[in-house]
Amino acid sequence: MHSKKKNIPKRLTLGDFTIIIDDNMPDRSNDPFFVKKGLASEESMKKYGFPEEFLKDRQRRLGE
Amino acid sequence: MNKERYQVISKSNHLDFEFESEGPRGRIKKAIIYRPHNVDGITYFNLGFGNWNDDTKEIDDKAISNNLDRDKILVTVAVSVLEFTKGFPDMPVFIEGSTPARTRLYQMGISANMSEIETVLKVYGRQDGEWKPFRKNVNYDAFMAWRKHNT
Repeated sequence: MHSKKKNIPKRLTLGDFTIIIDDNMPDRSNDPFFVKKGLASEESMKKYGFPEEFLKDRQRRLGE
Repeated sequence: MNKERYQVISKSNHLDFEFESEGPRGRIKKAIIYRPHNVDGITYFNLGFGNWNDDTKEIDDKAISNNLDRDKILVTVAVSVLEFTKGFPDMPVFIEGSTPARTRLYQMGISANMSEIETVLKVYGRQDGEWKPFRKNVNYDAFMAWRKHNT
């Protein structure tokens, strides 16, 4: 009898909420909606940039 | 975050999440994905969220669920942001609705859960092209959140 190893979802508890880990979920990276949203976000970020405080926090972290 | 929310399923990469909305219109699968983008040499992740259509295998961005569980959904999305930033503590998340109405929904979700969110995240809203620390009762057109240091 063949025994095939199944990818069984496991539970991961983080603080006060539990998330089920399942790597069998479909890959939605190329979904037209998400692709469109991602490109729109790039245009938006190019136009308006990042919050000043984020840039300072980032600089601080990189300097550590 | 002890408010009512849906059970979330995630890939182990902390980038792909899904859950099922339950209400008078039945069970509706929702997908949340975080994908990296780079602007001016700085990487950020865009939050994408929508109804997953199991027949077409695509997000249906026109769908309006009306499943009477808006608050529960918003808490669930917030949980995914916390989980994502736990996996990628140095990365900011950019959030913008696909319509002004949906951006307002995100704003309501952030406002309603701000006391929990601000313990671990810094949240900014963009107003008239300018980023400002998020405040309740102010309208923004986009949001950015990132993990506070040492949380």
